[in-house]
Amino acid sequence: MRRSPQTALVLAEFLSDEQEWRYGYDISRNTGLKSGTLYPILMRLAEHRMLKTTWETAETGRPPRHMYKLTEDGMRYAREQVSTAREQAVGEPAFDGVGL
Amino acid sequence: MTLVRRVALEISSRVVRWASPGCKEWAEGLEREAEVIESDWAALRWALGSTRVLLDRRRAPLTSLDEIPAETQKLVEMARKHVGILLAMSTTFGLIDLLGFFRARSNMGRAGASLVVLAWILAGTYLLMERRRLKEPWKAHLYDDLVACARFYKEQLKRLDIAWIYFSFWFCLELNFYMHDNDVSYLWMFAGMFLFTLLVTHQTKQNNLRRIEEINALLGERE
Repeated sequence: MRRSPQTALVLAEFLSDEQEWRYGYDISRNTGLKSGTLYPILMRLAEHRMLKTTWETAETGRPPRHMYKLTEDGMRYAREQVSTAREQAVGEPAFDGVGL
Repeated sequence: MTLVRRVALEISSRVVRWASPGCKEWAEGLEREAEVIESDWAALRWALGSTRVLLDRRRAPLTSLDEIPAETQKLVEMARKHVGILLAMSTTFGLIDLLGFFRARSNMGRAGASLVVLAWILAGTYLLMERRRLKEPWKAHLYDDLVACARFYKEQLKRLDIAWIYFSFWFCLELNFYMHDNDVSYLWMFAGMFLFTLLVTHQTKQNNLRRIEEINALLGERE
């Protein structure tokens, strides 16, 4: 599974509410990722069996929406990735290279 | 409905129509989101971004081992057809290259022609062996045993990857010599073409790897 800051963002977003099924557009809005960046990440996660997908039960007159949720494996991987990303962020000096 | 919204929905529905079987569900998911986005311009940006799904050409995922015999049969039939076409191509090009060898006026030309004739002989031998292998009578019974069939399917996918690389190599070599009158000094151009072919065929290789992983997962579930 390819590690990238964008993937870490998506995983962190899923971890913010682990039990909830999420909509693509909500994830996009909360992470700031465009659909063309977000969906390949979701597809890769699903391919590695880290993400499950389902169709929303349709309300009358409204087409169902696709929803996503991390699997157990996905949650384990997400926690690892997010904590690694946080450790790296803490290790980096905040004003490195900034001249006064 | 505004024009911007109409364009966004049109793009989304085209993405669904043109998406590969393995991406269809994702494309539909993207389309539904475009429908619920309130801002027209945001919906358009969303729809434009969704076109990226079209670059991903993947097969519909396997959901059970029961689907494997039909997939294997399809793959074997496709392989047989390709072997037939490539055999005809190898024979034709090989004979033309042989003539090229006798007609060559320089040592460089003769070296180039010898190289492609050699590639043709190797390709022909491989194809004849492959044709024989795909006709073996025991393969007919293979479809009754799901696990054996899945293993054969995986092996066939791996063989196709190797064959694909080999024939890309051979085709680039052939084309390159025709373009440059069999002159071996243009090998760098051949290397570039071959690299380009490999990049283009990367997706097929990825698809095959994905399928092998799916089969492994299904076999794992069964055990």
